[in-house]
Amino acid sequence: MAEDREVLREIWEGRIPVCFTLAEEEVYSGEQPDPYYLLVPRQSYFPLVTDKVQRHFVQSVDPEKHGEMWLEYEGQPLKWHYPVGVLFDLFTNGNCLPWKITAHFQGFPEEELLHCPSKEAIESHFMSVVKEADALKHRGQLVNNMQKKDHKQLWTGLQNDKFDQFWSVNKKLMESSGEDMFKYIPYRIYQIDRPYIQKLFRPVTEEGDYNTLADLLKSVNGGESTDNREEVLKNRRVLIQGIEPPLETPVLWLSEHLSYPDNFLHICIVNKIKNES
Amino acid sequence: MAKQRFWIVNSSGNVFTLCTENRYFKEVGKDQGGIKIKRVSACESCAWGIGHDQQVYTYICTTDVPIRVVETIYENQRWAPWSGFSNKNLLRTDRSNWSNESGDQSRTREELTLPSEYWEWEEDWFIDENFKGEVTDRGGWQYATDFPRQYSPEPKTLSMVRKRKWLRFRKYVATGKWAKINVEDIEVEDNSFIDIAVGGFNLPGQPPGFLSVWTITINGKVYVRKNVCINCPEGDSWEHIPTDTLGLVNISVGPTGLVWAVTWDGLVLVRLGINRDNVYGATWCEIPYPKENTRMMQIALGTNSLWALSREGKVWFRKGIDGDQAWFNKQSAIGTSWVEMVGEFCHISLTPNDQVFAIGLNDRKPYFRTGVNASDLGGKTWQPLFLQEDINRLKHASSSCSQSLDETDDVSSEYTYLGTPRGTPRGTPISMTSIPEHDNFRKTYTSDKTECLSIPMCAMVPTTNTIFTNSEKSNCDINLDNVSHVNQNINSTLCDDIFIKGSNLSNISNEMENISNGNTPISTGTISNNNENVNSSDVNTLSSDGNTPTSNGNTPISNGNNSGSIEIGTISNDNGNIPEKSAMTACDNNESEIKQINNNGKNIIKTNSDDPFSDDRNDTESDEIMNFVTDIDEDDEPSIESDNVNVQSNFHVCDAVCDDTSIMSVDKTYGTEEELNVFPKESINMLSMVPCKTISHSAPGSISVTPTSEIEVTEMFTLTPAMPRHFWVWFSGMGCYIEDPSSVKWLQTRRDSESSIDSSNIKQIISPNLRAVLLNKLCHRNIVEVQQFQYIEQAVDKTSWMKKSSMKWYRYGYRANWEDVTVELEQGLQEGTGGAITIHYCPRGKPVIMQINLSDIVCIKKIADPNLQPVFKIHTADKTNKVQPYLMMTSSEAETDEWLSTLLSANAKEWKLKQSVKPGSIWSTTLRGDVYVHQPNSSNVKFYEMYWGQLGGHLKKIETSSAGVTWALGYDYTPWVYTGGFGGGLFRATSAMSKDCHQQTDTRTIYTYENQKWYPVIGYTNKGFLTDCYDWSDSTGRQDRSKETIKLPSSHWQWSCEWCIDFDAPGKVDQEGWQYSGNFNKPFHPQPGIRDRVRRRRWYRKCRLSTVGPWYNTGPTTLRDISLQIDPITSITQQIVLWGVGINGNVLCRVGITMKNPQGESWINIATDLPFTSVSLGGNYRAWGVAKDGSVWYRPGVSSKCLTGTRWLQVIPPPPADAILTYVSAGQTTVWALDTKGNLWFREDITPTFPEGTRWVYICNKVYHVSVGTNDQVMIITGSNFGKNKHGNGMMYNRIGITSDTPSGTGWQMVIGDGWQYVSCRGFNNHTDDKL
Repeated sequence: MAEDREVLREIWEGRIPVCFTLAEEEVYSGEQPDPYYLLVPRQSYFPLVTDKVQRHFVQSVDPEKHGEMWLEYEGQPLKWHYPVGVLFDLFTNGNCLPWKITAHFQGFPEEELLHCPSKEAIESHFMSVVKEADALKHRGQLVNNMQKKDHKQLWTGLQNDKFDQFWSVNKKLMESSGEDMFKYIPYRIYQIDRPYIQKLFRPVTEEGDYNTLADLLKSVNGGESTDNREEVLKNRRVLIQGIEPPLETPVLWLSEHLSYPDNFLHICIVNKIKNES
Repeated sequence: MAKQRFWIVNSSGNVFTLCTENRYFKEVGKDQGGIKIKRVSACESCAWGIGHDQQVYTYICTTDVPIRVVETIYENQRWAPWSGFSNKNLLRTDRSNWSNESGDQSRTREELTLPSEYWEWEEDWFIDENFKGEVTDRGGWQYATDFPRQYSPEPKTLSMVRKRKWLRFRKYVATGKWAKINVEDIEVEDNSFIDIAVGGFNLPGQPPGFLSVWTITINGKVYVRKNVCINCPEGDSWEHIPTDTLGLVNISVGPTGLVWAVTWDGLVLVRLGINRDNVYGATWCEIPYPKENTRMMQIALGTNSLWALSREGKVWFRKGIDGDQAWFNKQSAIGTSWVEMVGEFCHISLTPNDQVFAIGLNDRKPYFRTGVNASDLGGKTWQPLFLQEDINRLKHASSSCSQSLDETDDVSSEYTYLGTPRGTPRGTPISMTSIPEHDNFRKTYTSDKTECLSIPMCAMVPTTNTIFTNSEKSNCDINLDNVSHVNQNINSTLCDDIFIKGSNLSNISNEMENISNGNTPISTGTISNNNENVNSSDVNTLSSDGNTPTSNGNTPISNGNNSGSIEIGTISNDNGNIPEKSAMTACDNNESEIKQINNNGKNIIKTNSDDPFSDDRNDTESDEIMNFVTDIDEDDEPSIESDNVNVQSNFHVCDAVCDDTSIMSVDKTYGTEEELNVFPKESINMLSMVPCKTISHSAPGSISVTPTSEIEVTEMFTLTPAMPRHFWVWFSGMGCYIEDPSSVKWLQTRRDSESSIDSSNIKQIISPNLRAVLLNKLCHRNIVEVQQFQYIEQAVDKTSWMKKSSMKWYRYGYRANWEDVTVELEQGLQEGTGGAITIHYCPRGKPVIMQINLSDIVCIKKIADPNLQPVFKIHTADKTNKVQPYLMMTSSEAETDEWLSTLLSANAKEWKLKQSVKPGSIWSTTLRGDVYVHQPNSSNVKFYEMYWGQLGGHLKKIETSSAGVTWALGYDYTPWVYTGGFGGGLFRATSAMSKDCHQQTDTRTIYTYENQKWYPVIGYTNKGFLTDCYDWSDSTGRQDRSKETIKLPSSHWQWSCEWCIDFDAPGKVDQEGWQYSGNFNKPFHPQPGIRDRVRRRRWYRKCRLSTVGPWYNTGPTTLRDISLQIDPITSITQQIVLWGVGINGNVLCRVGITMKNPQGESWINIATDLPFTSVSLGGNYRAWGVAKDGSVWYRPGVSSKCLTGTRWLQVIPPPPADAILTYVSAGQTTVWALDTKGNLWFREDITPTFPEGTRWVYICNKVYHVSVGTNDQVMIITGSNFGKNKHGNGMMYNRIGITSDTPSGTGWQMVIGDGWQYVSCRGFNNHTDDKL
């Protein structure tokens, strides 16, 4: 069971400073509005936290063409249904702070983004991911046995950024001892310009050893030989929650501690930053 | 709770135990050279076994409390006017000069001898001067008018006789050893045993430690060992239990004394008429065969189930057995029907709670039956077990070979023990072998069907392959015949198992046909010695037959390795068939060896080299491993010299020198040798004893011996797969009560056991280093991403979060009642930033709000009444002072727990819940068993303002010391030591609120009385109008307590048994558990009198709690009281003195306690003349104790160097008015005590020069507990209505006004109430507070 509160706290406290600017071409009322700075929780979703941003920009856009707000970073529309931290790790490589995001009210990229009609939509998306995760971990038994109010508490905990409120329920989902040992690790691997990868992966080997992050990457890359993989990884970074965990870290531990609130371990594989290497 | 041990015997006769709390098993009794055990039947405290010599042994587990028995003798004298008191004046009708207490037996000090060699006298006879708590001077004499009268310590005018008591203690010294049981009272032809079973430890009405011990002799007769109890662990005599003409081969005894047995014919018998007065029953009753042709081989009894194995290895389950009812109800003993279960096994064993273990018939692996519980005794599936040996044993060698190192030692010592050591040079290479894995081996051999004899015995081991000569073959056949006529086989011990296993026998015969015709005059059948001695009998027959030219001497060899005394035909040369020469070929090349063997046309057994041991071979090129066993006596001593050649002298464990050169040299030696003996059998034994050893040091060559004889020279070799050390033959689960199989590590499947290791400890998933790396990265990330941008607006506005629910709360006052309220908890954002509980309620329809600041709360606890489980109390200082805490009732117990958990976390900082408890704290327990601690703040607070924080665990007594070392006792008297952690309990071990928490279990016994009244004609009945009591009640009869309505203390508890009649109720009971009385207000007695109108009997039911807390179990020794020194320590390495009183009154002292090692190391016994109830260590290490008879004792001389002090001095006078003291607490200078009636006494005038004081002064009554601290501070827990107050049970008070002038103080000041049970302020020190 995830019980290392220190780590969980640290994860929860993760914030990303974001600088929202309105897309220049959409400025309607003369002057470009000031950028809006916000410390966005990594664990959250953009539509949950951008009400203020929307209110700030909405005076400056053409009421006629005013549609649903969507966000874009360096030409890349940001999927609202990914946690903020995932988007940040995937697109920015972590090296541009604050994160400069452009807000749009026009030209919704229907093909790339889902509409987000309301917060209920986010909630139902979030809960469905949690359920999927639990289906992988515990065959869905835990989440189904929970009361409605527990589901609600999970969501409000996330929405209101309440660590204790969230974790007092989430710890039940993260139960991994004895009978409730994770069956499979819920994880997704993201790479730019590719659909995410999600496969069945057991936390423990047949021999009873813990599978490590390296094992997971190996299993994902399937046939690739070890050498090749190492070669590939040499130029890549494996980011989870904005850090590069050592490859020998047991995946079970990562899943218990470094998962996002949706209970998935979101792993971003990005290119190495040039100037670093 | 005593250690739960599962006992295992391997094929070499080694015995292992596996504790439920451990992961690995350990060998027991291995230091005892030579004794090998074939069968074991165990209970919690001891094991009984059959040794290799067919004798009965008992192994008493070493405990901290020695088995100590006092012998008493009375010296009697009569007064005569002319000579005063003298023994010469005794009348002829008087008792003799020296007698027992009642005087009906004459016994003198000289005549009284130790019962067996396993006892020792502690000291010489001495006079007991203690008389009912007082010291009688005048040499301990007590006076009376006549012997059977009332005695007094003073002579009176009419005192005509006097007596005095002499005492001497004897101690059982053979704990942790196999002690042979005397068989002198059994006729010689019967004094070899083949089976043993113990049980009956749950049979009521027996002395403590009673065991029902049943054995079967080789003639099939049944004997029981009588009077086995805690003070007589060996029993005192054998009694023959007639079985008509039936000979038995297997017997099993259940925990409740029920006995089942199997006859030679495979018929199953049950013993009827067993009850508490007749523990060995009356008659046997035959149980029909489950199927026409099913013959049973073995049975295993649990409490409520019986499993049996047929000769084919089929498993049968007996339905309808009820061990608790079997005393009254015949059908419960017999059961109803047989049910066939899946699986094939060769041995089966049950635990007292009907869990099942078995050994597979074919794979010989251990199995556990999953899913067995009270409602489904049959269980679900057979799960293989992965039993592992203690890692400490193995770690001194990198490979598995290490085991055999010890093993070798065992072997050699064993042989030394059994025979006369011959001083033969050791290290002679006599055998080389590689051990193929058993399965492989068997497979190979069966498919080959070459000339090999294999005896796949059910009990055992691998197979042995031997080349037999024709003549031998016939011998073998004869031998088998003999086996089938067990009765006639007098000469050798006979094993029932083998006998029963017809299939195996036929197997053997089949193999016999495959015996080669090779003409090997000197070779004898090599038979793998299973732990069954059938083999030995085989061999015996073989050799004793005399037809074999080579073997006519029977060498009694105990092949300790396998089991019992086995007579093995030794080839001796006195009939002239001396092999004059043996050719021994040693090859370092397997292939060439194999070739040679092929040429010889002898049996070749191919084995795969994938066996685990084969890695050690030097030469791994060949996948064929030949196992050749030859034994050559290179000794100069002619083996002719004696028929009883000691095998040991004739062959030698090859220690390390089985390299080729040495083999060659041996060969040469043999070439010149005149006499040469081959001892294949022994070799095999040896090999099986030292399998790995041999491998590890030897080249995988093989030796073939080609002895020449007058007739012909042929090679002889045997193939022996050596027996692995962990080749199990016998289990005993009777000493292993498995409450919850999932909590026992070795019962989990391999993966489970490795992945679910103590989930409380994250470090087992991830190394601390790795975690630190990750945490660092996260911190770094947050510094980079967050901290530099703190000026930026937060996306989510922070508000406090609330918990809200509706409850009821108790309104005090004239119209006190429960009112509906809504309770809201508001908590600050950061932990410890405060918060408040708001209670909304509507008196008279008008909404009112009431707020309690979290920081004002001094204590939150649940109340003890099991009927009000959802109620919890909130104490604030004001409310505590008024003794009117807020009482809140939620809708369910679970919700209460959640609220408590939340409130405790919210206020954790105030209560210091997230840090180790510091020295100087006051510890207490509630009537529920919850643990609370007051950790003093820097500022002095009033007593009712003291914060009480909760810790996990369930405990009854807690004692602490100024050094902070804290020990506690559970309701089941298990001692626990504080680990320095926190949390647990409500938070469970997994929360961040916990540190260093462990599983803790406790057991409570809940009682209720069944009451009946006598009516004319009808007799006793509970029907009708019981005017003066309920038909089910508490002991007073005034509270309704029917079995159905009695609730568990909380939902975390579980019943661990059904309701049972308590035959051990205070005041003795009759056959059915009744006690009689005139009415419920009068004392009860066990037999109905003419004026008795009511009767009652007590029922009990046990329940069990499993919780977590910062407590560590210190071992199986159970204690009724503990006390830690209150003197400050000067260094952290200084030993801290802890004394305890064992459950049977022994005074114990813990060795090795320091601040660093609070659990200490071991107990040592402090001898006392009387059983004690309480001890306390006061200032300057003055030790005080109270004995059961109320006498108070003082023991000086204790220090951190001398933990036990010097000697007991009796403290006189006792308190007046017949008060019998039961508890003492000694502070810095003062001593306080409690008596049986709850009166509190203070010892007056204690001075440094007169540390015993002068007299006891009465202080007050209604006191449950008293604790005296380092500065003589006194805290008490009171009963209800203490003093003039009308408060409830369990109020805590502090003594005020204690000064040097008035050391007993002036009055009481309430601390907190109610519902407390125990408090220890023995670490608490006001002065340190003042300084701070």
